Amino acid sequence: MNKKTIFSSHTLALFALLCLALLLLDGCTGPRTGRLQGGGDTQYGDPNDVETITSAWGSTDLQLTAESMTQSLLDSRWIMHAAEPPKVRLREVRNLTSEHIDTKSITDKIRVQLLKSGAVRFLADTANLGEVAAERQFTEAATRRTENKLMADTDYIVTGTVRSIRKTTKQAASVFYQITMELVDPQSGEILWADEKELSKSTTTPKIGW
Amino acid sequence: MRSYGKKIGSALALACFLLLGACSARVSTEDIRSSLNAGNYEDLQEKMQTAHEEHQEFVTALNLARVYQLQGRWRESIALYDSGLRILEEYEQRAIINLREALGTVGSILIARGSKDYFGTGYERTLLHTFNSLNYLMLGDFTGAMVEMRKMEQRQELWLAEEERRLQEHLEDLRERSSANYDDLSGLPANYTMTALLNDPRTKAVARSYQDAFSYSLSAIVCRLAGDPDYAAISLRRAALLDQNARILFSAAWGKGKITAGQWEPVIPKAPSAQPSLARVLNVLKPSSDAKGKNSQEISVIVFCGLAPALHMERVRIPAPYIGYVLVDLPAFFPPLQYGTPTVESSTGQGLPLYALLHTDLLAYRTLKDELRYEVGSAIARAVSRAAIAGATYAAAASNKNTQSFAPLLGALATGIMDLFSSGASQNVRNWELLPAEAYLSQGQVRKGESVRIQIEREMVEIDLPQEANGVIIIVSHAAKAKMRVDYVAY
Repeated sequence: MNKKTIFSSHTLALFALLCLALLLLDGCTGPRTGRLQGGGDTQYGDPNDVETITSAWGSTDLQLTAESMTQSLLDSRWIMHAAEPPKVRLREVRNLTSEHIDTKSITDKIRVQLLKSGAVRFLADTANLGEVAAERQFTEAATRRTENKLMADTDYIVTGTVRSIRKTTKQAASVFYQITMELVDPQSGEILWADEKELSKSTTTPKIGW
Repeated sequence: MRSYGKKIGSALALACFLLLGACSARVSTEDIRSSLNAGNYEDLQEKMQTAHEEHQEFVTALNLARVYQLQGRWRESIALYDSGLRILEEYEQRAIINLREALGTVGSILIARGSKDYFGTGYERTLLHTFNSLNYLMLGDFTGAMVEMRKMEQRQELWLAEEERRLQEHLEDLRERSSANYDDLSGLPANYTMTALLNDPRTKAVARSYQDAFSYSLSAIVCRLAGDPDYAAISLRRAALLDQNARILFSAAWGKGKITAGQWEPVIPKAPSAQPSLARVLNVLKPSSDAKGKNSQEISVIVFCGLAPALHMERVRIPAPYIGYVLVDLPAFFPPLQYGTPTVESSTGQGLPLYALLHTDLLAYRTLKDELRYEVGSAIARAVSRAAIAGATYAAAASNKNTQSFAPLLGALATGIMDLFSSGASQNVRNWELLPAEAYLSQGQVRKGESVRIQIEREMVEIDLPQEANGVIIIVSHAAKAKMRVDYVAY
């Protein structure tokens, strides 16, 4: 009985030592950079990689649209052949799809790319003013106050819409996006440039699964 | 003898324990209704939250989302509706031959209807988007509200795709049995409480179980405000096809429109919100031709009354020799909670016409009627499988000399245990019971500076409309007596 008790305490001590060693080892192999590390498998990826997790609007759609529209706009004669970089204001791109798309991300990306090109100058957004009509009203009001004149003196405005057609059956789903953008002279209302980007995606349902 | 009987008893008791353990209780209909009647939304929210965290089901998400909505917690409600939608989308994207689905279906046909996960019926999936749209509307996000209305329409396409095969089989079956007709309910148990409701002319008059005039009317209002009048016109036409009252309501508020090639072309007046499209820029800059213009403001009043019918399993017991009885369980509904008809009038006594465009009870009954053939078939299969197990227990006991005198008792005991299990599993059979029983809609114009009185039975609420606004959308929620809640958004 006594012998059994002594053996048992030895075993316990050995077990405690093992645990301590494991803890120390774990401390040595842990992160040394001070960054937080979660339990999940999280990795950095290339933001330019094609993302096809679902058929919903995603980062690849945003990049393709912004790149295509920016290049088309820079190639238009109103920008390319302008005597000096025109002053542009980016207005809202209206979401007419059946998805909650943050269209601000499209205009933000286009603005950054256009600014980097040096071909245009941008005026600060006048959020909450309703598109072209508001632009005209704003300009009219501002011209009466010289201190606001410069801020309101827009050469062109850029607007657009995103539309989608989605078809789904039990076997497959497809979505078609049409993104249209326009360069408008706010004084005359004339549409000077317009282009569209079309994107099509489809997914199929697996035949057998859990 | 004692050891053999003991073995049978132990096996039955173990089966009962295991089967009951698999079913954990949801928030009961009685709990929901009593909490609402007491005006105790916090208590109900806590219970619903616990149920949703535990079960993570489509219907627990929707019920919790509605509790948040009843408290005016729009953002939390959006998060829960989105959570319900993710669960539904995961289900819709499952493989064509899905083992989980197959096992659930077999379980629901042979053991208990609650064995299969519930992902809502057509009208519940549609109304998910309609009610989420109201959250965006109350936050002043008209684009977000419009997106939800578009999703509502797409959801119907998905539902059609899912139901197409079953509907087709059903129609072919009717064609083959020329004597049979859609309204034939002759195969139902005599005591089944739903027979009269399924035969009610109002149920028969519902065009489709997954479409309602309220959702389309709301879509017309929302799309117009979000700057898509063409889509608003389409929605309004669809609303009028489902319920003529929608046409009467909007013809009076927005204009009569005209009939072209037998089809109504509604008038969609220019939205007063400052979101004009490029194509209409020059029109916007012209002075408004609307004579009512500056002195009046638009008003839309949405009134939600009562609570939708709650789904449960109705259990009919038919006496049978040797095993006591045969249990037939069929889905049925606890009646909806309905209160008086609401009225709306301005402070000058101008009455605003209110039309009931959503009746969730009729949609629920119509859905049940559409699926009745399948439900009756499943109920018979379950009854037969239960009777077979009880019969086998009786036969096993009767074949042994030691237990044959107890055989009828053991057969009845087996029936009783399965009845008990069936009762436990029935707890899983729930629907979106926090939907309102009815939704009323009013659309009109009042003078600026007026107040509006809303009355339901003896309860009355008066709200002053913001003078500077072009229009106001008011939502009145009356989920329980003496608990009227009013929210509004101005534009």
